[in-house]
Amino acid sequence: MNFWNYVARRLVGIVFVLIGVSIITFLISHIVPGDPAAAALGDRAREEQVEAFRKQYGLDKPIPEQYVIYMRGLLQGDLGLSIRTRRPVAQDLAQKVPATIELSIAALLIAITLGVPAGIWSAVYRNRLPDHLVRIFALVGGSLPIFWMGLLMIGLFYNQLSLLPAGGRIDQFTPPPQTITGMYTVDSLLTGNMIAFQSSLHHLILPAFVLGYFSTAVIARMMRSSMLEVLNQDYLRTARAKGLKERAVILRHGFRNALIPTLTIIGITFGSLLSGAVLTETIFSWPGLGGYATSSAIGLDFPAVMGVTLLAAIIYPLSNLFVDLSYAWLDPRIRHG
Amino acid sequence: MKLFTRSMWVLGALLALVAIIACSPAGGVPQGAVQTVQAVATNVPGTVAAAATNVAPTVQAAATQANQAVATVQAVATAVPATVAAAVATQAPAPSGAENTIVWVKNIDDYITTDPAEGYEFSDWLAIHNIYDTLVKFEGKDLTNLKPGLAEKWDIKDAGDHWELTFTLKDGVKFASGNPLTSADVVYSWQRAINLNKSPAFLWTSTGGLTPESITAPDAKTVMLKMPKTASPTEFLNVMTAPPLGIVDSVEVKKHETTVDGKNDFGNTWLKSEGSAGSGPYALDHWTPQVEVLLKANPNAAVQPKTPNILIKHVPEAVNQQSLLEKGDADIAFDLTPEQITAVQSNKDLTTIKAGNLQIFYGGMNVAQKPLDNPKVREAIRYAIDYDGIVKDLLSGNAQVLQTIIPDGLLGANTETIFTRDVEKAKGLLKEAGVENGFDMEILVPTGNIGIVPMGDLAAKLQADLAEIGVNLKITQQPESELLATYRAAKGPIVLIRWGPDYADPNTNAAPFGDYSAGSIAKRNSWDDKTSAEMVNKAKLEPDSAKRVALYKELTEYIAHNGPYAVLFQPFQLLATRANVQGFDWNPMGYSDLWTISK
Repeated sequence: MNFWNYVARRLVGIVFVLIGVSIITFLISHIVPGDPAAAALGDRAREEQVEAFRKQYGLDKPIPEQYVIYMRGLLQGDLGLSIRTRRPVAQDLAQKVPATIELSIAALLIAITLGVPAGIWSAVYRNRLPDHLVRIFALVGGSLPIFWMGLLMIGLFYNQLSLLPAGGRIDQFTPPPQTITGMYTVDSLLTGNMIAFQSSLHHLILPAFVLGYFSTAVIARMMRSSMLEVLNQDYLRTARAKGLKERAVILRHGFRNALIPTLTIIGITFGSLLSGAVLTETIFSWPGLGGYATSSAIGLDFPAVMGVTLLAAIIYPLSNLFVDLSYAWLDPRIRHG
Repeated sequence: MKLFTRSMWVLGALLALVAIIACSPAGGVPQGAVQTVQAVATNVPGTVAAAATNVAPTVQAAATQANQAVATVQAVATAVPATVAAAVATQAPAPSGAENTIVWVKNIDDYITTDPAEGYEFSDWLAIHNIYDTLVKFEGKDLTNLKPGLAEKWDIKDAGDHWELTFTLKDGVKFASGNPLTSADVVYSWQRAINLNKSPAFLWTSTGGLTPESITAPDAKTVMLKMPKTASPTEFLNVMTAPPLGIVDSVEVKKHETTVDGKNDFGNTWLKSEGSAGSGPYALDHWTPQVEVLLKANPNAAVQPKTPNILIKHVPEAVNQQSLLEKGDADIAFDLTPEQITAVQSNKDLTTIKAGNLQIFYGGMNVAQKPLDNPKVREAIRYAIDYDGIVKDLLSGNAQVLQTIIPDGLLGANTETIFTRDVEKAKGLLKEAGVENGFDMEILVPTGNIGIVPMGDLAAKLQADLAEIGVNLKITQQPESELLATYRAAKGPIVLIRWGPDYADPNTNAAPFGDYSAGSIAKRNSWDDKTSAEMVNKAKLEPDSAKRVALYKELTEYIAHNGPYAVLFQPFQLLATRANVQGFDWNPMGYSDLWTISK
């Protein structure tokens, strides 16, 4: 089986995952106690309004029938109408997803950029001051709840130092860039709108750092342990015996081999960043998928919850597939098939 | 591999660089530069490219010192000045700076639409009220003195089998588009609301008893309504002050009508989120869900706002709202907790406001549950409650005691103290009812807070109060959506919940609480009382305001003693503003006349 067969097989697997996720999410969201009509209309709604609402959203039909209707719509690309926002879920998602992707990618970049060198540094200086510093950094990152961390960062960088804004995607008096990808930093660069770029970047730093800090800690620890393992291998001794400089030994021979387990973690981390974004987005008033998912769940907005879940169910396996494929790039001995 | 290692270092350098750029003064305080570009963008598009590229040198210099990746990015930025010009020039007209903008931070998760025929949430109404004028109105926080709005005068005539309401429109009123406002616009606006049949449609059909055919325009200045005798013209006049009754520009809206699911959408898709067509002081500039709503002064409005722009920013976290307000990045904060309000009171740059709020918190006692069917038991419970303790201690004075169904602020409000805690009297009443040894009863309570009220703590307070007369409450907390399903089905025991009026008329509370046939709160508590229902109807149909007030006093006292409710309090609406904000008044219905605000 060649490479493309492998990819195709994994993609087919994703389809089955989606079907499974759709059934489970649909069932769970429909059997939880609570009345979506009550959540949407509140206590002021009269009985006939509630009935009309249930009928409009098909909530008066048996659950299996509701599922069939939903899946029929889904196959035609229709994710349904949000109970809460009264807009098509697909339209809502299209508006929210780019903001979350932008935040998650920025967080991942920060996590990789800080976590990988920190891990290497820590391993090379094992049990010495740099190692202790990195371990403390990782411990703090792994222990501090995102919510608390976010508030601390706002307190420091916004309230005290006035260096970074407290929330939002762009300065309130700066028009957003023309929409191309929906990611403000990217769009502003593509359109050459440097004012919007500066402002959006300025707004991105704090939430991305808060979101990425936990992942930085995880990546640093993983990189440290895998690097330590690699540093004791015979081939590194051989490399040193050949007279290579220590820097070249570590970066050229050690780093590459230590990177594979870290890459797995990075793949998983990207998925968890999307879920971690829920809290970060709330604290930083970041109008992304996280806030949308939270409001939808609280408002018993089944179509929106389904939409968000299915989207996550696509992103998770796809990011894992991407990681799996990148193994071969790092280690030519690994072949898919 | 070498490539990977290098790319990692490049990535690191890039991140460091962008951090420096973003934290640089240009990134931190872009306002002046932004305004310059905005001015150019709106007025002289031809020079925008130059203005936009002038900002680049900082970036360019930094880029040359760093790496290729950034240089490439810069190349993209500088190599396509034409694109830059086009992009900046085609952006929507921008707001014109902090000094001309009131920034209101608020959780606007409930903002669903800007179409008056659809809006029925607090955040919707805040915008709609300021975009669309109504025929009659209340001013500021007053909800009892009806004033002319778009109609300069009106007349109510008894036409035998129906009421005839005639409105004469003011001359010279124009919409934001420049189109003159005529009676055809009023007829179109209200007929479309009925035909669209969204959440507010019941205001016309159920409250007013109107159909599309009963709204007519004999001439360009006159609107006539034919109302059935079962409806109250006085009540409907008060209903007409509600934001959904705002008048849209029919000429403009018709241009945007489209077909949705095989039906005419009457411009709903457009009015919902893209545009506005009102004659009010403001027009919608843009609404980005869960981000912001920007209102800009309507140049054709009869009343010009004191501040040209109102920016309502979605800031869900109260802590962030406080930070923004304290730093001066926001002018008004809406969702601060009582603790935050107390904390900012010592800040001389800020002003805190305790405004009116028409919500009432009450315990509904389902009379289908024994022994709550006995009026003496219900009266005993009302006498056992420590109302002052709830308001002063539990709510730190952020509410006022209210024991009747019509709150302070509405016509016919009854704020008298009918029940003062008297444990002995309560025990005596239980004895008379034959339950002197007390009883166990479940109380359903929504989880979390409702506004400033911690519902679990409130239930615990009631539990402690009632324990003294031998009534043992078992507290069950449920999400409000789950609790409401039980309550609607009249299956609740005691339910601790709140009610807010739909419009500024006492019947909005009297009918649900007092008339079983209204299918609302009385029904949820299985209380079918003919006397109460008759009193509700009589008060509703009374055309004379003074007589109405007297009738509502009788009704509220009757329900206070005989009804299945223990009404507890009405909370205040807590707000904080910057100290330099002037002319701000909070309408207890849940919105504000934004055009009177300045700073």
